[in-house]
Amino acid sequence: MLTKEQLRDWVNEYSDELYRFIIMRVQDDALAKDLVQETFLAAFKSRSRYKQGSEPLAWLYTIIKNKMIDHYRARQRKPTHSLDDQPHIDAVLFDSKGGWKYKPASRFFSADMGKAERDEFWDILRDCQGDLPEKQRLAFVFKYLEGWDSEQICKELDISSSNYWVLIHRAKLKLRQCLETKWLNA
Amino acid sequence: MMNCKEATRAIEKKAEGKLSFWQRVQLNVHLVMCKPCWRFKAHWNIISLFLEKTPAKHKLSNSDKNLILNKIDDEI
Repeated sequence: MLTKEQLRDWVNEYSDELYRFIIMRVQDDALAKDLVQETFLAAFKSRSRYKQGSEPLAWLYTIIKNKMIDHYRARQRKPTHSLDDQPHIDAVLFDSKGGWKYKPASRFFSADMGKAERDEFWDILRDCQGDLPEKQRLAFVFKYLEGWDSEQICKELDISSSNYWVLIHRAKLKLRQCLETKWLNA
Repeated sequence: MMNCKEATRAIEKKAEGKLSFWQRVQLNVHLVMCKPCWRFKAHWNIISLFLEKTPAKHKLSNSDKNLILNKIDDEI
């Protein structure tokens, strides 16, 4: 069974990885740190379920993912966070005939960029994610960071599949636009 | 003829295998002719590539780690 000493070692060894994981998925740094802390405490509480010798990080990931989902669900219940009240990005980017008003620029991040530029990408992405309405942001996180399929996402967000396409489409339009703008202006 | 708004949505549907044969043909024709939509698709290919690997740059400070350790000492 997991001992307190072992748990302390885990904090030193795995807290960075858990933080790295969660910081891209929640918008608030203080919350990310809280969730990391809670994860270790929860691990100790359910220590009878940990098998000595099995991979600690895999187990900790399971716990922190559950914490993240709990957090999303709690937020979803607050109506102020689920309202999609910004002007729709499709109306901003496209004219009434569905043609581009603001065309994607030729300059963009490229696949062969070095480490510094990739780090910059993640900073900007985090910023841009924060500008998305809550449901769009969650659809994006579940799809692109968690790799969930559309059925799972519809179930979690309690939306229809046509709603799902609208959310993902808007999230993609808005994120790309935001990445481009913030990167070109950086 | 598919317009750009429809085409950008169809790109996603195609990636998830949810586009009919006829829609795929329409999308491909559109992408050949429409540079902005082609760019939209290319940009998202890059974004998806980047998203596959989360960066190692985020780290907790020692004082953050100590906070967790202190909490463990308090509660356990």
